[in-house]
Amino acid sequence: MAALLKKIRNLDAVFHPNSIAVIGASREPNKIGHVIVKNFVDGGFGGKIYPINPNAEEILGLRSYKSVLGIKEKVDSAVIAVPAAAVAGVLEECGKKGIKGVVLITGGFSEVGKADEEKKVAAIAEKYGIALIGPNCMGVLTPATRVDSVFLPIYKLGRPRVGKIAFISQSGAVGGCIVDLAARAGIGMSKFVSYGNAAVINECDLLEYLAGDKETEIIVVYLEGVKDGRRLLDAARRITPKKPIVAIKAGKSAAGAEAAKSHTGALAGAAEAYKAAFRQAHVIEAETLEQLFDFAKIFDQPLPRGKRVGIITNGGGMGVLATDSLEAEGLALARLSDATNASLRLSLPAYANVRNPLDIIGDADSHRYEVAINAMMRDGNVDIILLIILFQTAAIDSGVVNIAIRASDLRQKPIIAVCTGGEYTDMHKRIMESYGVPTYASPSSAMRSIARFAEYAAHRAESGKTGKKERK
Amino acid sequence: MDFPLLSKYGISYPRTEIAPTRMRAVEAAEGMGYPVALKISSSQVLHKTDRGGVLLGLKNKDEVQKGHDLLIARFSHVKIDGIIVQRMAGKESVELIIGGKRDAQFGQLIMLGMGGIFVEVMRDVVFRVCPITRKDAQEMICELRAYPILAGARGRKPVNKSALVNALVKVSALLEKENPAEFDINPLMADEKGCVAVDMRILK
Repeated sequence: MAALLKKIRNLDAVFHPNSIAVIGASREPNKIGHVIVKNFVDGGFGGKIYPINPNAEEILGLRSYKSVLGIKEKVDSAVIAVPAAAVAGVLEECGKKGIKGVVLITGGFSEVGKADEEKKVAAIAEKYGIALIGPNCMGVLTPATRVDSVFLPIYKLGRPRVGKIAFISQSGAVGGCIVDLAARAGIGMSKFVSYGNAAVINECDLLEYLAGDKETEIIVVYLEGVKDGRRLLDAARRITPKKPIVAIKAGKSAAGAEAAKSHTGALAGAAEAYKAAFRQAHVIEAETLEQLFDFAKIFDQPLPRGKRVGIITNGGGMGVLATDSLEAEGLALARLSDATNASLRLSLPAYANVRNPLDIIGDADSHRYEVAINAMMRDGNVDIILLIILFQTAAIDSGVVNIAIRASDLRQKPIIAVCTGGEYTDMHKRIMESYGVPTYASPSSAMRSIARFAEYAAHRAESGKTGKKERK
Repeated sequence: MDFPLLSKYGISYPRTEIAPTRMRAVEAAEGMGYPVALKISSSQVLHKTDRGGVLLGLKNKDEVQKGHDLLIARFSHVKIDGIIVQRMAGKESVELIIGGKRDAQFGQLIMLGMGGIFVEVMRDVVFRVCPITRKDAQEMICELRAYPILAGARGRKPVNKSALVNALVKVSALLEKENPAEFDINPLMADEKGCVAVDMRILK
């Protein structure tokens, strides 16, 4: 891959700064400029924090400066939350100070028809090679470095644990909701970026940066529109042989297609174009917000060698539903080997029906799950293990959570769980999620995710082969 | 009917000739092979089918001769340019559509779909961004919901998949080069021997 542009390299300053200036910092608790400083302080950011406010001496116990130019030490990054009219001036000062990364929260630019103002701001950033995110964005999170410029209070919008998923969102509102949900579900993130109007750094720049980011293994994208579809397609094509990309395209209405004069013109809307591009670049397309993270979180698991699923369940009906979904998604039901069948017959009660789906019966305890998982782990005919655990039964105990996590930690085969239920079930799901075992509320959502996972694994295997050929 | 644009990109269409005489009509039919269709060619006859100016499925020399004479007699009152002789697709052929559209974000898109009523009602169509590879073309064919029909469901002969792949790759080249606003080959008749474009439309 060609050397990254300076502004893309400078994104390091946005995500991993040693020092950060909050321009527009405020003493008023309900002001955005206050919330951001507070989030850096309370979130445990390890670097230096410099509040910038022309009228304050001190904000949240930190010495406040009138301008970034008044700081003697080096400053890597800045968050700007001043009124739109003041942005150009403070950004110019950031450039002079040698600040490399800027998150521009302020709105009131191209989204309200002020495209010229936005161009002015972009030109200043380009002049200094600043990686500028925004304007009109909600901020950036890096859970590992505790960089947190998201201007919503932590008690209102939960922050996710450290994980491998980078999530970039054109919409701040949608992005924020998903981050909050991910935090509650126990899903981890490496980065969250609300990139707003994308005046300087756009979705393609972020994809290229994240492709080389060691903390990121999965890239999730919420898109409404892009400036250059071809570049997106080319970038995605280069990245998916190394890292999976899960994307959702919002705004699929057929506007424009009505004016078409041909059959093809009438059928080819924006949705079809994006769908085609995603398909060609092996981007995994989500149709709904739920699917976005349903698909993404499964990639915490090792890639499967094939699409043969072994199902273990303590409820017969759920096994039947899972089989139906498996067939609908084009997956295969693993044929258990003779050795597996023999060992299961020995260790399971006589009334258990030894076949796939393996119904270990409603009186199964965690030990019975362990026996079944171990057998499927050893069986070369099983590529993926799906655990259906109904926590409502009298016999099941919480130990099954540890068993699932231990099996997942072996990193031999993907372990995926379906747990359908209420509060008590959710508690167990959260624990599994936070240890990287993806959990689903229904067999159908699990199977849909497994299908995308297996398709992607096949693409990786394929591109690995052609990659080797090319090197020869 | 002649499609120089299709010729330029090596996309085949049914052979068509305008025969000024009965003998020429027979020669043309013998040359292109049966079955053929005969159509009246006259600037004064606009709705050929409605007025009985189209004869379909003529299977031999005798039928062509009789058909020719019938059309000449039926339209004796108008000025005739000649009789159009056109090779017809076989009974087992499937009606498809291949199209293109210039998309603001991605450039040329290529579409493959089931033709006839299916394109309107079922919207059984697949898109790709151009240019496409042979592998893309193969995947497009397999992604159609009606793929089993192309693969030869219920005793039908399967359509020639590699000819269809060729056609898609050629249309992709046409779209890349000509960059039309919209483009349709509709219908494209495909059978076990190959596929031919029966009609096309380009919007610059």
